[in-house]
Amino acid sequence: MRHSLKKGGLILTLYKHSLSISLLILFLISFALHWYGSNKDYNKIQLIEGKSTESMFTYFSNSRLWFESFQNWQSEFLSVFAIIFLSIYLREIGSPQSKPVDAPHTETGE
Amino acid sequence: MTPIHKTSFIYKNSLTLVFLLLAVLAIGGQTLTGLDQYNNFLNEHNQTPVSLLNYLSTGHFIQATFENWESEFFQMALFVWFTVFLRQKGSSESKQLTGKEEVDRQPKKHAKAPWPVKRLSQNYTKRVATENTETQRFDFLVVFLCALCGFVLIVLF
Repeated sequence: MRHSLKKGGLILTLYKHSLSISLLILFLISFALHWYGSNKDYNKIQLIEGKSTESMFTYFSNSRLWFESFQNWQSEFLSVFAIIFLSIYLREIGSPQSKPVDAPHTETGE
Repeated sequence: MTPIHKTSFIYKNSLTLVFLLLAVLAIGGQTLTGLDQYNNFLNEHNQTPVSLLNYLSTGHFIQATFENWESEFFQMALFVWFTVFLRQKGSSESKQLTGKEEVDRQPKKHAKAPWPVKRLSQNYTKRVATENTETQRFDFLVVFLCALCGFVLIVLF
C-alpha cells in the first residue's frame, strides 16, 4: 500500500478510483453469473415443458433476464434516492447516516 | 455542453434527481419486461393477455415490486440504526471508535432548527443531557436478533 502511494503514476491513479472500480467489477461478475444462472434455469424449465432452449447470446434479449434485473435495480436506485432525500428532513440521533437532530434542513454534508 | 450554474435547481438537487430518474427508468423497464413475461405465461395457458394498465394490479407486478422495496427499506433501516452503536474500524461509513460525534448531540433550540426542535421546552437539553442512547439501543439489538432467530426457526420447522 505504502509502495503504491509513493510510486504514483498509473498505480496511484488506479488506487484513487479503486473503490468504484472494484464495485464495478463485482457488478459485472454478478451480472454475468445472474445471466448464466437465469439462462440455465430457463432452459431447464423449457426442457421439462418440451420446448426449445436458448443460448446465452439469444437469452440476452429474453424479457425474463431484464425483468429480473430491473426488478432489483429499481429498488436499489429508489433506496439511494430515499436515503438522500429523506435525510434532508428526517433525523436519527446518533447515526452517522443522519445530520444532527437540530441541524437545519438546508445544511448539506455529514 | 451548456454550463450548469451552481445556483440552479438542477445542480442543487442533481443527486436526488439522477437517482430518481434511474429508479423511474428501471421501474419502467421492469413493468414492460414483466408485462411481456406475464403475457407469455398467459398465452401458453390459453388465457387472454392483460393490458399495461391492468398489469399494474396483477400479483405478478405487485409481488415483484414490493418484494424488492421491502428488502431495500429493511436493509436501509438496519443500516441507519446499527451504525448508531456498531463500529467498523477504518470504515468511512462508521462513527469513530471512541468519543461523541456531532450526530450524537441532543438537539438545541435555534432559529433555523427543524420545527420539532424549535417547539422544545427550555429545560429539555438539561434533562436529556445524561441519556446514553447508544447503550439502550445495543440492548434492543440483542432482543431484535433473538426475535429474528426465533422467527426463522419457527418458519423452518
